[in-house]
Amino acid sequence: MNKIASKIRLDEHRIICEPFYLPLGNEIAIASAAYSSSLPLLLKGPTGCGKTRFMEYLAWKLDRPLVTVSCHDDLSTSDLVGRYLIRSGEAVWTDGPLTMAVRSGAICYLDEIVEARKDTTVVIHPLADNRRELPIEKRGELLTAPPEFMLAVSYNPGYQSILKDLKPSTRQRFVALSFDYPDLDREAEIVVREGGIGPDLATSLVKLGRMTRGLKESGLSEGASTRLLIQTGKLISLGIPVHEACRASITEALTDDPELLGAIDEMVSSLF
Amino acid sequence: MDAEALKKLYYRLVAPDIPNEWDVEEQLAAYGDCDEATCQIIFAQIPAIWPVSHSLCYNYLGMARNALSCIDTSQLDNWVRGVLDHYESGGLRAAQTYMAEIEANFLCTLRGEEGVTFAETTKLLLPYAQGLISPDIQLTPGPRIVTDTETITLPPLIREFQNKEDNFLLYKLIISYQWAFSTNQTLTTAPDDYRGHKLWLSKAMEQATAPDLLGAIYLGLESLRATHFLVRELPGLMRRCHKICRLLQVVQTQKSDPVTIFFHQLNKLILEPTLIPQDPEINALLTTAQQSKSAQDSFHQATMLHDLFAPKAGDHSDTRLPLYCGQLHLTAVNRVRQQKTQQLENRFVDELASFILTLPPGEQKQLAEHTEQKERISDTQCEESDTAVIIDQPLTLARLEDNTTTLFINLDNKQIPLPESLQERASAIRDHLGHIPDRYLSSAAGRAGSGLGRVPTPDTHDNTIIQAPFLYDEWDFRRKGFRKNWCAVIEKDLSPTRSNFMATTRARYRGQISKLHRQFEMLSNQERFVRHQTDGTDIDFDSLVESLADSRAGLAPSDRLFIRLQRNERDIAVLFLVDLSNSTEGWVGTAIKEALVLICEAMETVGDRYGIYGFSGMRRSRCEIFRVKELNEKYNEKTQGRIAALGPREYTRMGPAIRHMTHLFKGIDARLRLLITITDGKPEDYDDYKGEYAIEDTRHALIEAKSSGIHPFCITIDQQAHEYMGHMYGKGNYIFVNQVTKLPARMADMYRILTS
Ligand SMILES: Nc1ncnc2c1ncn2[C@@H]1O[C@H](COP(=O)(O)OP(=O)(O)OP(=O)(O)O)[C@@H](O)[C@H]1O
Ligand SMILES: [Mg+2]
Repeated sequence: MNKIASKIRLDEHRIICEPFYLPLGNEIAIASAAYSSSLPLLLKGPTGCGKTRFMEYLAWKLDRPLVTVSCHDDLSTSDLVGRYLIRSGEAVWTDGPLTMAVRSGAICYLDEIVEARKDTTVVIHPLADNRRELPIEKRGELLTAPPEFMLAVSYNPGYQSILKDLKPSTRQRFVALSFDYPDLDREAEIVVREGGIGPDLATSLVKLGRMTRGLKESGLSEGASTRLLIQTGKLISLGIPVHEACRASITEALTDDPELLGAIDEMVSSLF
Repeated sequence: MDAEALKKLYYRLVAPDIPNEWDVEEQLAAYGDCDEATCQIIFAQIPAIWPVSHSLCYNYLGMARNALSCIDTSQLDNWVRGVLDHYESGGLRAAQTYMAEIEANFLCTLRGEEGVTFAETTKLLLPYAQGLISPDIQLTPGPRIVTDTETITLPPLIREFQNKEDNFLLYKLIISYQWAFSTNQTLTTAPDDYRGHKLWLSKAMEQATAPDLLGAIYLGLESLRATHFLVRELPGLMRRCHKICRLLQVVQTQKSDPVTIFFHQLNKLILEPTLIPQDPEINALLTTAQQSKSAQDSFHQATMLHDLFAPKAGDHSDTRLPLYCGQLHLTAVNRVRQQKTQQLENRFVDELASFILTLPPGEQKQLAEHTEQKERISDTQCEESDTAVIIDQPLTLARLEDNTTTLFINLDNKQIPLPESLQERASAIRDHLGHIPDRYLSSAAGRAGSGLGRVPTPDTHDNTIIQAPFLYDEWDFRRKGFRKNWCAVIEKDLSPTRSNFMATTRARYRGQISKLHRQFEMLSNQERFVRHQTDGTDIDFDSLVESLADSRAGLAPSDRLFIRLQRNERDIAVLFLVDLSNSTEGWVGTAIKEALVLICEAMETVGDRYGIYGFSGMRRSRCEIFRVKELNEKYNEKTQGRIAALGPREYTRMGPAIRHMTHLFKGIDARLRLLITITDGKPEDYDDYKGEYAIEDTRHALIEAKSSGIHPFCITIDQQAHEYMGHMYGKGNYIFVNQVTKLPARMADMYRILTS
């Protein structure tokens, strides 16, 4: 019964339609190779550059369910591993997402792993190193991950580093993929597809995005992500004038600083 | 007014200072024939200027009478304010220029012709330029529009047009052209010479019979290409500039030598690229030029045109281009390129050497032996021939075949991947030079080798523990680069004093302190609930269910069933950096100390970890940091005694102090790391660490802090707020307080915003 329940739950995580993912390098080949060598994956990259989308694509391609956990600082080990619940007076063990993924050989993607507390993330250590084990202390059970299981974690290196928290033995087993915003043409292609606007407009939006990414020295910690550009595209495709759409979903979203606001406005008025 | 009366008046106005009599007499000599009323009006400004700068004051006296000949006495106030603004932002030189060009700087604004100055637009233009061209690009005012690829020199004032918008647009256009040049590699291209060798642009130019003509033609063609590029890339800008471009038509002299005529047509085309030149011959020449696809191509075209025109060029041929195209300054470009190469090499070699030193000793030793052996052999070999003999190169760089960009060093058949920062340096070098010269590797290995076995020797002269100073780079905004290891910072202990300072301060601010307590208690109450606690204010329902279920399942149920307000785990670390310069002498210094007491009370209430450091010093070789309270130290009599012992010392070299705090933060693990500087505002040292230099270095140190995840904030204690605080810390990242009594309210607000 337990098996069936988790099977039903897992099926929800299956990705049936091919997600749109535009490869940026040979990340698909590398990730597939990591998968067949049973190595965990580490995705680094700024926000909104396609890490989540890549995992969806990978899961689809490998035909594995994808279990995503967005980490936050209140996440406990039980939230990952599982807990007993009472059903009609009976204590029933319920697998957490991580256990579920391990049991059935799915891909478990811990998004923004740095957000989780260290005492929570320790459970992934034996899974990530060559043991590939998940101890379920409450059940006195030690799960060994089947070859189909894959662990993937992501974080944004601009902010913090997870690497220093990992033991070298664990760290060195991760296959690290570094993501960044795509080159102009490809990013424009993505914005066309996802934002529903024409290629010329998309290209100009991407150029704007790239200009804002150059504002680090001027005090903007992150430039406009692909996600922001797509959002802007959507606004425009719904009939919002370009300047207003940029103002609302790029300029104001990025900063409150009047000088930077002014400079980004100038970029917009140069481009459009 | 007679000399004695003038002098008396003067001394009264600058009291308590007693300036040198000669200087004063010299300055006042010009006022001998001036009527009393005018003198009074002019001198009335002295108390405003003198404390800011004595030389500025003398300069003012030299200019003021002249100024009054073209402005009304009622406007003198305004003008002096302008002078002081320029002094604050650009130093004495800027103020002098401002005073000298009274017509341009002051009168035309009064008349409503609105020029735009570099100073007022740079805040907007700089991020615009950094976004477009590169994050490192800098802008500076100067007589010609040129660039060395690191800095763009822009006119200090633009008033080509009647209104501000158009003038600003012209600034923007200039920068956009520079962007086009930089993207199109106009200045960085390396054309082939006739033998097919690649030459840097300046070298290639030198080979022409008329290098200046070649340069002008080349820039003209590239400007044409840039125009096409901009029409494509920045259609919005070019649409808006259409009007002003036409107004910028270069008025060509009446002479009609072929070169002038050619440039006239070229100009027209740059201003309006869709135009078709009337002269069929020139049209033919320019049509091919219009098709130039690369800087190399343009150079080739330019050489041909040069060969065609050089014999016909007159002495006075007019080769000007539209203002916004700027001019070539290839020697500066060269200098920057060489500096950059050198810098890349140094950094890479330094870092690779220290990386090698982190390798296990066995591997290091092998490497060292190899290198030594190699050096020995190549030393002897070199005497005989110039070609180096490569023997069993122990250290090579390799890239794995499968497209990954990771670099490895090959060490005795072992591949050791380079750390990320080195990878980045390596790829920067590859971008710049196309490859990584082998020399870099061998000198890194050599340096690491000589670093082996170096034992730190304790100082024998002295029994006290000599602490090595911390070395920090300093940012030099003029050269847009760091001065390496420029400042030496020493940490010092401060011995506590016994005094009733604590008691009196606490008594005086009793009201404020209890207010702070209340506010900060609320702050810590704002905390979220934590689950799974052994005791607390409420039952954690999830845990309860889980534990019931566990016990049903036959497991020992957990006793962590409560929810509690999290107070102690805010996970915030704050360092306070206190300015102990002698400019804080007087009420500011006292106010800072008193403020510190209030701050400590507040921090104790909220329970966040905090440390306090004072700083002062003199010159770059002696920046001192005084430990008042380390992060994990308790707030007790000892720390209180140290606060009481704080007092004005020497100067305010802010940059290294901030960098040292950033360094201290490296060892601290916290969710939020705050650096709060308490100062009277002005960074300044005994040497040339002053004005813009000091402000820019401080700003840069703060940017560095931010990029390592620290949130800087500043409390300025002063009579009034200063504009440059916003520039250094960013809007909203500082508060200014002119009375200690006002601190609690502002501080509680600020701290709440900062930490939640
Ligand atoms: N290579 C790509 N192919 C297709 N779509 C992409 C690609 N890169 C980015 N996108 C688009 O950008 C959006 C944002 O990407 P995604 O959600 O994967 O970002 P992320 O890296 O996971 O960001 P965060 O770190 O904020 O979670 C996606 O919804 C997708 O539309
Ligand atoms: Mg994501």
